[in-house]
Amino acid sequence: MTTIAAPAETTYFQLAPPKPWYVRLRRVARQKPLGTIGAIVLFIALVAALFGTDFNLFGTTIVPGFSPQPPQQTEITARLEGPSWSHPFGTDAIGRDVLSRTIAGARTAMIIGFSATGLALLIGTIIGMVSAYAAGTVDLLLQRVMDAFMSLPPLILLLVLVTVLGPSMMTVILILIFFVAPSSSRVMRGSTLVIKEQQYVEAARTLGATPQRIMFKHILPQLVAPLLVLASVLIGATIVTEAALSFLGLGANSPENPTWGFMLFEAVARPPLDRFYWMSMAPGIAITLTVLSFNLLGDALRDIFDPRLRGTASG
Amino acid sequence: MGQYAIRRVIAAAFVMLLMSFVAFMLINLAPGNTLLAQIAGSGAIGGVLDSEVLAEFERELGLDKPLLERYADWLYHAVQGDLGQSFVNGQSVLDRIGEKLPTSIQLVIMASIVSLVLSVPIGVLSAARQGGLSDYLSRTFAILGLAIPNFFLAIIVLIVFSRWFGISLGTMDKPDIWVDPIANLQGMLAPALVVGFTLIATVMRMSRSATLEVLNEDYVRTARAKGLGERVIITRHVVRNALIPVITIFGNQFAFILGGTVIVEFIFRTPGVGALTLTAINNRDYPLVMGTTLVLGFVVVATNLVVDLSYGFIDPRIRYS
Repeated sequence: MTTIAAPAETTYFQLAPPKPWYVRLRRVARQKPLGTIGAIVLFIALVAALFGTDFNLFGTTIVPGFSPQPPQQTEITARLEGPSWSHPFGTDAIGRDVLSRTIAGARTAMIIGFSATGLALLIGTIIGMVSAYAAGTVDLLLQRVMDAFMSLPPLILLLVLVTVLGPSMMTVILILIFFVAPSSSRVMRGSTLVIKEQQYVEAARTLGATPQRIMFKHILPQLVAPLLVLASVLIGATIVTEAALSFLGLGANSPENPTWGFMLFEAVARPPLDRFYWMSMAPGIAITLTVLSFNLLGDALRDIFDPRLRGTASG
Repeated sequence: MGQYAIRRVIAAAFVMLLMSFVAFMLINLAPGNTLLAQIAGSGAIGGVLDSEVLAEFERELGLDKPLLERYADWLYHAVQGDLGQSFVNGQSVLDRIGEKLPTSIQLVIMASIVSLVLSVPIGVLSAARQGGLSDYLSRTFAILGLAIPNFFLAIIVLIVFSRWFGISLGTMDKPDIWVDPIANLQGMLAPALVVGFTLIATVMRMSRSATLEVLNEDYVRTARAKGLGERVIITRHVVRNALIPVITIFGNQFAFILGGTVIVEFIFRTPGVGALTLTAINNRDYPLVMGTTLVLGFVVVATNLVVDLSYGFIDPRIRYS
């Protein structure tokens, strides 16, 4: 057996050393201004979610929050006050600081958005990948079941489910998973169908790799890009859905963990709406900005990861 | 085509069946709720719950039978158009829904008309002048429109109208359209606009991108080459072909429009099925919840079916397999 000689050490051209990460980041930011704005807003929202209110573990405060007041603290003498220096966004019907409650709402929204979307994508990816890879009867059956789920009117069934199970953060997350997983499985199935026809997958199969190995070592890494794009859009969508449920009094709201949707409900429940406008403005704008930022980030991510789609559905 | 239609109808019926089963099981598996709600609703007992009284209630309502048997029973009646009686006042569920359904349907139709009339032309125009000011403006509008949740939009509309125009949209009368059409339309316009707003953004984006795609087709180049004016190309050659994906999106959005009506009916106090569902949920009126879920689900499934089957009429090139 002869060994192939290694090529001589002549270098034909010199590759420029890779630019440091911050230079590359700056370049991406310049190319995608809207996506960058989205990312910055989301960063602020995440900071508010993480450090806004006290971080408690086993009843002791580990990291004190930066918001002016605890969200549940009432001040009877300062009910329904308009924006002022001591309460920049005003106070609500029982004298709680709207700014503090809006900051606390970020935590609830992010917990629900990230956990529900994350778990739904996990389930959806596994179902979609298996469905596409197995093909045939398995695929047909799984897809018909997903069809059935997807043709159910979402909000109405959500309402029924929350009524039956009782409103709590856990319920809301579980139910959201139930509704997000089918549509994400559809997207993942589509991507897998394309990937599994690639030559390197065929090569792996020829080498005798098991279906599990092919799916997790060869197909899954290729799904990361569509997953990121899907996640950024879905987190926004789950946050809105949770807000809608909360608005109808069926969400994850509690005194310590207020939700933006429930704050809007409280504003509507305390007419006249136009006189106490500050009660609805802060949480409403918070929801809108968060969802907008997730959408902008998602659009930018799709452009970066999948240039073929550029300008098709990005509006 | 015929065979495909039959298959789709069977699939739709299956989805309906599955949905009724899921809803029925969920509502009835909730521990004790149905019975206690019934008792609370009837107001028969004030304080202590006797186990004998409970058992009698159970027998009376047929709740002592196994769950599957009850579902079969319910299904048997539902197929014949009998959805049971409301817990709260004993009225027929179907009658109550029948009273409210026209308002919701009117709301959805108005929202659809408003959004289609506005969004398709804007989307096409935006694509035809890609990169121009109108394109930029409409895209910004679409991005914002997709981010504002309809309940916040409704609140803004209420605040703006009451603050600057002195009109209280929430308490505005919504009489029956056959009794007083003008007052009815006045009352329904704002809710319809709010429901349609998200749809405007979605459909606009879709018609823009569909138009852009069609503009790259060979036959459009041919049309340009033979000297047709841009206006004729857009109206005769482009729009027609760009409409197909738009119709799909529109059909798919229908479930969301219906979901949106629940919230908007609640805020604007529009007496429709959405508001009825909320009342039923708050009263734990399970037969009524079951009924509205089923009726709304039926509307969604039926729309999806019609959308699927309508492709063939819009574009004869589409062959069903």
